[in-house]
Amino acid sequence: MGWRLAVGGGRSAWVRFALMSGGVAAGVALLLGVAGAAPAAVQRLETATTRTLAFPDDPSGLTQGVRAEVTVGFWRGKPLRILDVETVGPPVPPPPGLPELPAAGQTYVSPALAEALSGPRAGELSPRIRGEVVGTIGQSGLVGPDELFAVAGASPGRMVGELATGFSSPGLPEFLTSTGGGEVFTVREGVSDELRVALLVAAVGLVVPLMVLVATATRLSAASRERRAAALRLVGATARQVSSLGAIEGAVVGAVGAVLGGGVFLVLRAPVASVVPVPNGVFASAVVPPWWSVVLILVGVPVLTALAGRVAVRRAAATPLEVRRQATPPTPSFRRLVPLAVGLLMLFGASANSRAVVAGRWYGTLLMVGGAVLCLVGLVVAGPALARAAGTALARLGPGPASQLAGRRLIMDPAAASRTVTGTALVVVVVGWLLAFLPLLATTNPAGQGVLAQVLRPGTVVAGFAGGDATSVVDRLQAIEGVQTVVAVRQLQLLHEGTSPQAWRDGSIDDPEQFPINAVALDCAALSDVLREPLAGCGSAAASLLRSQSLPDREPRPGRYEQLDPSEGLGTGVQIDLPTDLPALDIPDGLVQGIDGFSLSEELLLAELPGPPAPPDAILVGTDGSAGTIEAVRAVLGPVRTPFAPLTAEEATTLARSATDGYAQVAMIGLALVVLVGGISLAVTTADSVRERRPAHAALSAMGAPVRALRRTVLLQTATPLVLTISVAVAVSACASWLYLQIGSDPESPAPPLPWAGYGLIAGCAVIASLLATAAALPLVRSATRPEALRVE
Amino acid sequence: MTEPLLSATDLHLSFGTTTALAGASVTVQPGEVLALLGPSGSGTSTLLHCLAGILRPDAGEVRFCGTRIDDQGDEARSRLRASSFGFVFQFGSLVPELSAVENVALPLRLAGVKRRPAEDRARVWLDRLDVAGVGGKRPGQMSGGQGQRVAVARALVGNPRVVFADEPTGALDTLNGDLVMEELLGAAREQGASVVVVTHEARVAAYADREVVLRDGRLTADAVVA
Repeated sequence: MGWRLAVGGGRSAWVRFALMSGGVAAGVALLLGVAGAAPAAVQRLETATTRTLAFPDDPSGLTQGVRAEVTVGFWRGKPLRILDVETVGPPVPPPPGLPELPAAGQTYVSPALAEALSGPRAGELSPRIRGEVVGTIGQSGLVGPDELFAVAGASPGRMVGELATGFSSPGLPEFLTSTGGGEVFTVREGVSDELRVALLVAAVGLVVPLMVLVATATRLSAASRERRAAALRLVGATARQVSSLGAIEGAVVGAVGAVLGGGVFLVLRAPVASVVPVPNGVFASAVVPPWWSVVLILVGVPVLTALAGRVAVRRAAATPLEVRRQATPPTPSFRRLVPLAVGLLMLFGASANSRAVVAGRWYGTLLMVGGAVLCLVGLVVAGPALARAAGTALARLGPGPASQLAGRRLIMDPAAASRTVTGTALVVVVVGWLLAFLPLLATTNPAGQGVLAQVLRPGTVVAGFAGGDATSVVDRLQAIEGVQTVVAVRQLQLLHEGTSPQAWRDGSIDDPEQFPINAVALDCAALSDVLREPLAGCGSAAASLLRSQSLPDREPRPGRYEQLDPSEGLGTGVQIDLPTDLPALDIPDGLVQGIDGFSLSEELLLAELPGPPAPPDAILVGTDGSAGTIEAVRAVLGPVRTPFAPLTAEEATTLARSATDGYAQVAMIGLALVVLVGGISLAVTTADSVRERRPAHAALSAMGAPVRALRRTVLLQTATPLVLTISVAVAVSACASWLYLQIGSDPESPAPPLPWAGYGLIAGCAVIASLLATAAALPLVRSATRPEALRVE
Repeated sequence: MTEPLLSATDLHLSFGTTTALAGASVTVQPGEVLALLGPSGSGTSTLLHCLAGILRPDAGEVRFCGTRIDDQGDEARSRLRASSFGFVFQFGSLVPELSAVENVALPLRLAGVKRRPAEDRARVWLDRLDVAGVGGKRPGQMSGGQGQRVAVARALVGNPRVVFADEPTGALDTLNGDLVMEELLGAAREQGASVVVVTHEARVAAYADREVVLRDGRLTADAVVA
């Protein structure tokens, strides 16, 4: 009979059933997507791990094994990673995706790179891919389908890193090794505690609104189903029978929706994966929810909908006569605001006891975590009271009958209105918190490399060399059309004649006054050319003091100096005289901060390199900014061993910020997903409420109420509680973030300011997206005014 | 004979393959009470909806005060209904979320009258129809008879030229049905409004000055009630 009740009422019942199971299906498809996203993310991390070397506890005794290092560059805005490998001794098992490690002169490339190499811009890339392409890398060796990745076999003796026994096995990385400037260093990596918390918050933030969507779909047409249940009660059905029927109907909807949702997930997985804006793309086949989550969703959703179906008819089961008479449901009390207020009070308490929080005392943690949870739960609990308050204000103060009608509808059923907006409000709170914390993440990020991009002219390529053969590079770069300036940077150390190079080398000098001074030789006018603001003070002096805000003023002793050999640490015999009263050259801080492979933190600038010619340590290439020129520069630099890949300052900034931007991107994708879910939920609910009110709409239209007035009513009915609830959500988010920042910040320095512009943007997006979703259902209003609705009760 | 207030000439209207009107013609004189009689499915409600400008016929014409209204746009017909017509239906004519006073004031508010004066006038009408006591209640909290009297008040509050009533007593017992009809017609006559009432009850039709009978979308009889 539950099935008969679900679909056995003709076309109208089928429409209702389709709306309900469609809503559940959308929720299930998204839940499966969320469940599958986590393994896909883990797989990406694991793939990155397999490109790293596994070192034994004591690598010093190794005589055979493998050396490898990754160079990250850019090609037309996309990261290009090249893994150089060298096998010493017997073959080493390759990382996943490769049949074997490439021999010297051989290269395996990713399919996306192979495509680019055979495309019209192959000329830009091929000089950067050393060796002959002998095959493509399989999916198991790639982070995503769009990744530009190559594994190149290096010629013996070229690599300087330490030998390792092989590549790391798949699994979450605990240690990642990386090389820079020929030096091997090890960094702790993997899933940090912050990331774990962020993933947990994101999962709760996504799953809660999805469950709200599923529950909302099951509560569709609640009024007419409640009336039908009341009719059954009045003809003799027991409360238990009515509850069971409601539950069975809910379960049928849930089961059909779950199966449909599974189908939708399978059908849409590939097209959605191909458009998700994640760097390197997503393999659709990697988005596979774990079996236990599939079982949980496919069983849990019908159980949830059965419960929701039972709840939907509880009033009819208990008091059928009240339902027949359409008695007003109980008014939500303002006591519903209490949990929210307590949550905020707890956060204030945490702020007042910040020492206890920082020290990890139990009551500090309770106040901080409990306050946050109560804020979220409190917003859900307060939803109906807020919707009712919005309705009362609208009915009293709103102009015209449309506001009055919308206000009265909100007062009559505030719970329904709040159900559709609280999911979105929760997301606004969570994303608001994330936005407040992003600046903290950014300041703890050591890069801070946006500064160089602000100093260099756009399109200036920066490359650092480390002992490679870059002698002829400058001339070849200058020959490229579109290259305007090439600044060759050569670093050197000068030791005062009063200090013995041998003593310096032996480490027997303690007086800092006697330490060598660091100098850089470059063409000041050329450097000025690649800066946004030309340097003032590039004179004809052979030597100038480099001065900047972030460097202390230093003045080398006048006298004769000898250039040191960087590899030997001994004097080269090349001498230079420094006079007193050296002119000073002010340089912007961005040049001092620099990027990997280039920075100007030396004390002295020399107009010319003393002694014999030497290859540059770094170069700055001023270009016309076109992608073609930049790629041509990189093509010239490709064969030169450049441990710090040639990048523009903008690309270096992008790379340095990728971690922070990754958090922001995940937050934004999450926000978009939940707003999408909220939108579907809202559109379905609005369509249903318009359908439910057909007789009233038809009567109003017959009386001469224009359809646009009815549409305005429907819009106001959503917009008013939405704006109020979102405003409260922003206030809660701002208040909680401010308190957290007070707790976490250093007492000496002020806490970062709250991102009000970000809050405005989120709130605006949430409101606009919700209104657009409501507007999607507005065309139904006209069909709901058809006069045949006047003939039915 | 005076110029009819409302006239329909040779109306045809089909819903898909179902013919609702097949050449129906009828006139309504100023102040006249006209009953449209016929069994279920005979086209009485459809004719009423065409006369009131709710539906547009496929063919034929409808004139109000000599002006053709069936070729007017939705906006113009909505304005006409709001300013010159009143309606009482069997079901759903009251907005369930609004109180009786707010329901009665609704046509005035749609015409742009401010809330306070509109609700004051609504109270006068509720008092006149003897339902002042339910002014603050919503439709779900009233009896069927009270609800229909509130609907009558709403139909008349805007001083309409014509009141359209579709089975206004269909859901009421005889006593309440008679009370509603007497109050509807008494108040309409006081205002000089015409009334077009669809019914299949001879007892209700007896209140009319004239009755027309429809069968299969055509008029079969037109008689002046003695």
